[in-house]
Amino acid sequence: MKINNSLLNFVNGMLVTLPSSKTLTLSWNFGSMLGMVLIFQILTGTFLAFYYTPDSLMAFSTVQYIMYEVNFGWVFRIFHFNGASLFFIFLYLHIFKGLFFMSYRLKKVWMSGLTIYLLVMMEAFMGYVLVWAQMSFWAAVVITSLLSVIPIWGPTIVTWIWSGFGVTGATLKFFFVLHFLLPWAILVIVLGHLIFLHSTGSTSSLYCHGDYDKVCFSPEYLGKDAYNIVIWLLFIVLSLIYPFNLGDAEMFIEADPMMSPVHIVPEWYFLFAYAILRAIPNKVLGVIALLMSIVTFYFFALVNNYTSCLTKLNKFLVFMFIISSTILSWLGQCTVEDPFTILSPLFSFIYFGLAYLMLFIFMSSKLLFK
Amino acid sequence: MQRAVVQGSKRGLAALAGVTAASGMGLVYALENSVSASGDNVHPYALPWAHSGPFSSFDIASVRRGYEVYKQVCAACHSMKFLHYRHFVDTIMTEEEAKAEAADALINDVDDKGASIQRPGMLTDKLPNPYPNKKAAAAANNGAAPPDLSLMALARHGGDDYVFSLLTGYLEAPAGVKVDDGKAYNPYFPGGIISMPQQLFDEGIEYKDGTPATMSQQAKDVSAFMHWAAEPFHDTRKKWALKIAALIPFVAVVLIYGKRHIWSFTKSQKFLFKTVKGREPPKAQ
Repeated sequence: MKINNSLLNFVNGMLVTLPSSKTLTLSWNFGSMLGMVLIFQILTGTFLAFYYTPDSLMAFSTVQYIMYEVNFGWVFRIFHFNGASLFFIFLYLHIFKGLFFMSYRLKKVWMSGLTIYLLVMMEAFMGYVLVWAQMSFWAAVVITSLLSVIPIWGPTIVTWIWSGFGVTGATLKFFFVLHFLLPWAILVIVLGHLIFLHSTGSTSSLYCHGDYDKVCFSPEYLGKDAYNIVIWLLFIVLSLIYPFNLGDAEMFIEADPMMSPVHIVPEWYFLFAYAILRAIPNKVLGVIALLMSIVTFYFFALVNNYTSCLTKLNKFLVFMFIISSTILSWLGQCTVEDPFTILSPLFSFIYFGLAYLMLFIFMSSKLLFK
Repeated sequence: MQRAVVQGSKRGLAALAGVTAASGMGLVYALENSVSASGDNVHPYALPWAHSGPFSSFDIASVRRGYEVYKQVCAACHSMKFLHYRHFVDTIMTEEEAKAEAADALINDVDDKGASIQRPGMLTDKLPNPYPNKKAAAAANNGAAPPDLSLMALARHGGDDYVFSLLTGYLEAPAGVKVDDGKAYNPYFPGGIISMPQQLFDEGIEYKDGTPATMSQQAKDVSAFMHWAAEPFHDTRKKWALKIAALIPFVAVVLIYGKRHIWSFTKSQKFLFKTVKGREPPKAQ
């Protein structure tokens, strides 16, 4: 049946009658799961914001106020804290799935996805700082100082973000406002990401020329996406049983500008980038490598190659990439001593080598079929 | 012949992959052990706490005794600024007991004329801080301010095990280790030299419930109390986890059935290739 309203037709064409391949497995659920977690994080975060004060003398105390005094405040904080980890788990699975199925062929989807990834990293970092614990404060000092490598404007930008000459309560206010506003921007970009995706439909492992042998997105894939609820319930159970396992003990020590922790390590989802940053003993080059570890994947969207997939070779390279990323993450939490100071640059090199090898193959494989 | 060669090379490749993976795992295991071995302190032994399991609750009797240890030993130097006496009500004490505990404490306050006074505490008061500020605390303790104990159980790597080991781990300093006056040697503390001398001794206090107050008993009880203080919601969250975990199988069954119901037509599709009259394949000439 046809509806006269063009907006309804637009939505209908994307969510109900979208032709979808029959072969989309549970790997395609990662995207909808991320949407669920994002909404969940926005809700829990909004409730936490009711009771939080971004003042350097009070921030840590208000976090504990939420834990001790606010009715069920501890639940919201546990969910918000672990929800960030859940988001990154599915984000990385989503990215790897994208690499396996060469989803960078959908250029707009890929570009918007990478942008979302960068924004979510910023969001997670700023949330990390708001706790105003020892690791928060010193992570803020280290990461914001990296911006000083920007030519000409670097020191000015750092001073602006600090709102002073060091990380202070004013910095906390700065981060709190951004931490609250950024998710809404991410939400808009996610909707754009979704629209780009559903304009073309997902890539799949089965090539199908035309739409004659496909199913409607609804109700088939809505039913499949409902499986996410089971994962979500599992997440709730694990959060309640192991609320702080993914955090550091330093998370419970109030920030002290006079004393830094023995080791400063970021959350688990930043460890690979941290390892790459530390692998290069030059500040500027380290920051550039840190950025390129993500920006490299933008280059995939510059290649026009829709059909030439070397599936087995690509699968092998993606597995190698996953292994090297995992090892880099492990290296990121090791102390700076032998043999880790040798392994970090080695695996950073492997990481970039594999990424550019995938890019090269993607560019070249088209020529094989000319 | 060709197939045999392919199979042989595949088997060889699989064997090579297996050996490589095993080597990788071995390397990671060795390096991880070296990471654990790094650091300048002894790692605490894993202890069987009553509340360690995924669905285990606190031993409230132990927590109560731990509060007695805190009040009679730790409170002389350490504050618990996030804890109020009302948190004890109907959790580890009755309301009357909590009120009595509060009344025992001397709370710094200001009277109607603005003069500083000390008054008996009430339920809404925090556990008192023995020092007016951090600098006073440091000055009274050889320059090392005793940290607040509210979150201590979560604020140290090793958690309860570390606290217990630290409190029972004092020993004579090895030859060559210089220990200043007012400090002590404890291998569990980072660096080995700790500003808090040994505080727990056999029969150092007397428990109300008659439990023998050995040093290890006191250490266990005060560790449990400190964990309870850091996580008052501990028992509630595990109860909720158990309830939701019990719910998951039913939700899963409903969702799986629903999805399979939706897909039944698609999954049971059959393709039939038949000749349509008038579109027969051409006859061989």
